[in-house]
Amino acid sequence: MRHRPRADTSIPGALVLLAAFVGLVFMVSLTVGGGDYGLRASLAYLTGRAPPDTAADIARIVTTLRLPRATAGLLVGGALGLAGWLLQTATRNPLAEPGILGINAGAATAVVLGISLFGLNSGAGYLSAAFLGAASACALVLLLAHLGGTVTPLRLILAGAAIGASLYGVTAVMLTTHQLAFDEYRFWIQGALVGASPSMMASVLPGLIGALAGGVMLARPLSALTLGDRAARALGHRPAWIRLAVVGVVALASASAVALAGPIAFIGLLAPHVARWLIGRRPIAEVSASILAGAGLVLLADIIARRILAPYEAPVSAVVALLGAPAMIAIVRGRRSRPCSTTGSGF
Amino acid sequence: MWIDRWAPHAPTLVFGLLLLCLAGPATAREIVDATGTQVDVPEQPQRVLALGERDLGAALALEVTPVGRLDGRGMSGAPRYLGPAAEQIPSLGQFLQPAMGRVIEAGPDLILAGGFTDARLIAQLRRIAPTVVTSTHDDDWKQSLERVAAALGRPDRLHRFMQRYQDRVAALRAELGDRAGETVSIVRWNPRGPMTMQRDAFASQVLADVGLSRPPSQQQPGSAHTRPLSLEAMRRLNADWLYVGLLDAAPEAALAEARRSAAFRTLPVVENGHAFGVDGALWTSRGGPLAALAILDTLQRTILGS
Repeated sequence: MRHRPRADTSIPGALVLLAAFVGLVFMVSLTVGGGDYGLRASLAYLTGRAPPDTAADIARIVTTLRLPRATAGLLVGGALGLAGWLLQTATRNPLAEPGILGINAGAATAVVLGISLFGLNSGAGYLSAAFLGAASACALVLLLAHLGGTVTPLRLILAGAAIGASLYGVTAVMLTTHQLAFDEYRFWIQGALVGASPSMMASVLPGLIGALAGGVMLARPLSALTLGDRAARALGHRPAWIRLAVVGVVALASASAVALAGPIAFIGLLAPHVARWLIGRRPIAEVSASILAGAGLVLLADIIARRILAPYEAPVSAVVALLGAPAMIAIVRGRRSRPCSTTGSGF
Repeated sequence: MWIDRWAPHAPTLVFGLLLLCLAGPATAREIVDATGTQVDVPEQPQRVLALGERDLGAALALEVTPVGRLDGRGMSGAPRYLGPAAEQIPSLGQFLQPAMGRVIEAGPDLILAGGFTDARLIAQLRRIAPTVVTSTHDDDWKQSLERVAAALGRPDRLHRFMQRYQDRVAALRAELGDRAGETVSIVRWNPRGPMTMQRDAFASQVLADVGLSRPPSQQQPGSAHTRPLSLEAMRRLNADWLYVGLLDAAPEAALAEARRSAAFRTLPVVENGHAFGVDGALWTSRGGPLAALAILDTLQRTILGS
């Protein structure tokens, strides 16, 4: 790769490569599935060389099953990558992410309550409930972490874990006392891309676009904030408003992801690390990379989830956790040798 | 903690135990239950609790009306196929989760706890009344029924019921003629990944009695259901006949729900009109004697009626 001068307006080569990689994984996910049509048959269809007796079958599978699923993976992963980057940057905590901080659990619990108590059944309904739940959980976790003075990274993570665990308790109770769509719902609460319908995606899309735009707009002010509130104010930013906007955008992004695919952890944790590793210190490119990395990771995990137990489905969240847990341990161990980053929090 | 849940009922419990001690065992029989435990049961039990999934149907089939039951698997009531007779029996809690206070208040002289595996829960029940674990996970419904009959002391009713079942089976087998040998797909519907019942599931056994079998794609060992199937592998649901159920929905709703999937609609068995919505509690659960008769009814109505 050619070495470019670091002007902030240029698009880093790493970002272009990452985008190309996500495009490639997206194409691969159109050719892989848990049924009878693997790579070869799918490629034959995509290049117009499928035998006529199976063409209709493959066409149906690619367009009605794989395409929506891959699109959902793109949206869900991108949303989680965005939420993770915003949280990690805003709290200056390398472990912050919507899964670990209980924000996904907040969204999921609100959707479950909405379904069982108010009979929610539309995409917009799911998204509204998920947004309320995510925003409340986010606010609650930050509040809890602030109780008793200094916010340490550990205190934030513990507050998130506590909120997450309590909320999963609530969903478990709802699961045993309400029998609404019992099997389907159990599937969703585990986190899975299958079943994210085009109509659902369409109703979530406006919120997601808003979150993406908001996230990119917040990238630079948020980076200024890492220099400290006074420096940020001197640069013309308003710290309190930035933080409020971060909570709003994180809640919207997590809520969209949960409404589509249920709670999926670790993506929001890993994507920003990949982004920082690839880009580093260029806020807008970095947040874009985190969004792309999240999308790529979810698509990759979903391909594994389709094949690992084929012809049966494995929940994508389980695959993600399998990859994410070791990565989380590596991050924690890596940080221990660099004590400067374990002090204080921006929130 | 169970102790917290129990604490409010401690006086009732002590009182109940005292009463039991005072009453003393009436003439008792000794039987061995599915866990290998020896249990002294009353000669003619009067107040029976049918807590296990198969116990309620078994007791009713043996013409004993229990004084308490639990809700069905994935249901907020008794299984629909058992009808109003079962629904009128007071519920003592959710599936596999008896509320101990209500169990004590019911004043049982015999508790049937088929399918219970929680040793602590079983020990608690044994302190309230003689408790017979009438089935383990691997038992078929006939073994479970025999154990319930032994606990209730009703060998004559067992004989009568089995005779009735065998007669129905023989008649249906004769009517099926060369159709016996056809394959039957049993599906527990889920829009995100349907499941099929495994080879030794309850409904499979009833099918086998009349000479029907499961298709080659549905021969997974086990008596429960498979993991969710990839929507791309829907062709594995095909067979000569297909029955699709949801635990918590009416038969018609299950078929309508499944038909929303294009892959399901285009299965040859569905296009041929050989797919039927059924009660999930009958076809995709652990069943029992009355469920077995109901399945024979459905087979008669669908395969011979079409």
